[in-house]
Amino acid sequence: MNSLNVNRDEMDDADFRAEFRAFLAEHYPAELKQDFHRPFRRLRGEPANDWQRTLQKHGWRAPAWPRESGGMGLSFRKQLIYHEELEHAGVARIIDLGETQLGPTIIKMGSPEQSEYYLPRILNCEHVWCQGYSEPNAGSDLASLRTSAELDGDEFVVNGQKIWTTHANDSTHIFTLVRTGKFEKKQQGISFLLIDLDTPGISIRPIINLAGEDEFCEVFFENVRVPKANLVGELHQGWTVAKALLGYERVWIGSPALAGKALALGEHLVQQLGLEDDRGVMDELAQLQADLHDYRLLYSRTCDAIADSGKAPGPEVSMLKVYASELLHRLTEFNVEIGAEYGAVVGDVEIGGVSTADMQADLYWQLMMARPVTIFAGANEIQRDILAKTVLGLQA
Amino acid sequence: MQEMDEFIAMLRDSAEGFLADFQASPGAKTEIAVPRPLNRELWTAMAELGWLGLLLPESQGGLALPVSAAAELADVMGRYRFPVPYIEAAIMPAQILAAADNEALAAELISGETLFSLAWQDRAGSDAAFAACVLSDGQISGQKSFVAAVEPGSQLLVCVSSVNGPAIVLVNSDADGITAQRSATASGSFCQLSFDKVTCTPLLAGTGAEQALASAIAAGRLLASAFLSGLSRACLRDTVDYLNQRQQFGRKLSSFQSVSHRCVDMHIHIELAEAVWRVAAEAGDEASLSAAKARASDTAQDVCRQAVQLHGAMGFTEECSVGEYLRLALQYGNWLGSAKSMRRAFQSARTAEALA
Repeated sequence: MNSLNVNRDEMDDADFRAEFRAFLAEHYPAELKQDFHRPFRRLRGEPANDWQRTLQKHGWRAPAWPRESGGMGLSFRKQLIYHEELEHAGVARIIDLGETQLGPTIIKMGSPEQSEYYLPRILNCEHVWCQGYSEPNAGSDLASLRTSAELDGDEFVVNGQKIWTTHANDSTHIFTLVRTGKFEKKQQGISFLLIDLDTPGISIRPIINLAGEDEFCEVFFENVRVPKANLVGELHQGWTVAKALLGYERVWIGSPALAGKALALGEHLVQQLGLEDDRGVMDELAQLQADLHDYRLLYSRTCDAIADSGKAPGPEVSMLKVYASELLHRLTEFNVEIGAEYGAVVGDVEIGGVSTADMQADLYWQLMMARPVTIFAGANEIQRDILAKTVLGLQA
Repeated sequence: MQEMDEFIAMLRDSAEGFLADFQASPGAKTEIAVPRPLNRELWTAMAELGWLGLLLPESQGGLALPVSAAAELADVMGRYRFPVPYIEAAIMPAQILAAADNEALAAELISGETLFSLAWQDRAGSDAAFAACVLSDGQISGQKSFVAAVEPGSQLLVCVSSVNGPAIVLVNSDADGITAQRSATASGSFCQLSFDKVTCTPLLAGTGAEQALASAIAAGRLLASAFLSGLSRACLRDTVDYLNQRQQFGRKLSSFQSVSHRCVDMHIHIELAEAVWRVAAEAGDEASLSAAKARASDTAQDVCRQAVQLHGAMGFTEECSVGEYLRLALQYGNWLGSAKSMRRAFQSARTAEALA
């Protein structure tokens, strides 16, 4: 067994992969794996925190963080292997925004005191963070946000509302973009502020989504007093602070992992329903198989180029988000369509096998869980605008 | 590895110069429904650049480069919509001559003094190659379909069946007993060839013949994929230039989302096409090769058709170059495996892999 001091970034790629694979096989609970019933399973709340602590205990937590901050200090290439192995093992996704968003932001832009206080508490799940960016009138057009923070002595007074805040109801803290001033450009005068959700004046209302889950919430702020020390980076510079991580976000959202799970379900359904001799279905399946095959190659080619350059991803990674999310749409739609009457069911249904055992499926859930992927983190229409302008040079 | 990367960069550079000059020359424009004869002077110039013998072994006077290098060249040719049957008359016949280990014939191919053409296909939409033509008593009789780049005096490498199984034989296209029915393609022509007791020279037999043909088809598919990928990229680039310049309703066409978003989707498909052919060039397995040809065939035809629409009425004329792109996309997108048939081949190969 490895001690926490092992620098896994120095390992050979193949050894690294083998060790992580063995670790996952030994430690990840079988009942929490992604399966045909819940191909995009997510963990939240205590099961999520338990698993994160297991990773932490064995030195597998926070792959992208530097070692001096308590992370694994993995190169981008090793991070890709790490994610591939999570996918391979069917480990459920965890939206740990403390690890993936806030930690790197504090490491890059925060004060030493903020690093010292917050980073260990993210790693041991004492603090669970959610992201307060979107507002009712500031979604893809994020810079139009209006939640205000006015300085009053040593405290900001925050008023306003956030929405689509994923897992706010499981979180202890929220990192926010708030308006601290009005300037010529709307991107100016935004600040990056850390807020404890236990602070008086905050209320949270979960919103039930089309998949039947209360994953996202509205968060209301009414005269919420936040210490000035909770500002990350300079006052009014929050847009720059937040933007620094957007490229990486699009790389991970572009991962072919979810599409891989959806295709595996589709291939299983074809067998389950005895459709192997239906030329029309098989041609449609061939298109989807080829699309995912080709996309996996493009994804790894793009990631390799990022790893080789040693630079942060550029605007071209928007194409990953666009293609992966739309492929996920098409795959989940195929699964509903070939399901025939089973595709009309809202919720669980037992599908009898033609040549295989019966399976429990929920074709509705997988269809609906795929919907927001084309919307969040900048709707695909916005991504196309970015690509048209910056990559293709189409003039406005 | 690094040496090869540098060599490929040089190869691409020199190709860019040569192909740009050609594109600016008066003979570059292709015509509609007219079989395009192979320009022998141009062919000799390509021979001098070493392109004809790129893949042949050094022992036969070639450059012994990996097929991935030839694919890089094909990508650049696509970018200049080069209407010359390089894949048909150089790459595919060279794979047969390399397998036959025939130094004299290889030398003729490399120098460009003799033209070769691979007469393999029995019928449309099929890889069947050894049934429609029969060898008996040193003579062949039967049919071959879609034989590309047959010129006066070409040496034909004909796939035939014999009592001992499949074989590849050599006949001259001017020989007695051969009749040809010619149709135009973008870069030349297809011939439907009939053979009536044509005397031939044996080259390859048995599994050797089958393997040589398989490697010729694989190389052809790879290069066609790279060519189509480069072609699509150039066609989209020209379209973007046009959209940035043309104004309607007081705005540049490029500023309309319905237009720019379509360009973005084309761009993503081109990126996919390039990622796949590059992997297929290294891996060489049937699944990735079929996927590469399927993706490139679909992408090129889609991009070029959309370019017609995005150029408006101008795109429907022979005044701009969109038609030349589209005709090449039709040629290489439907020859050596259409998108649909290649996707089916990909699916079979993938299923076979999963079961293995």
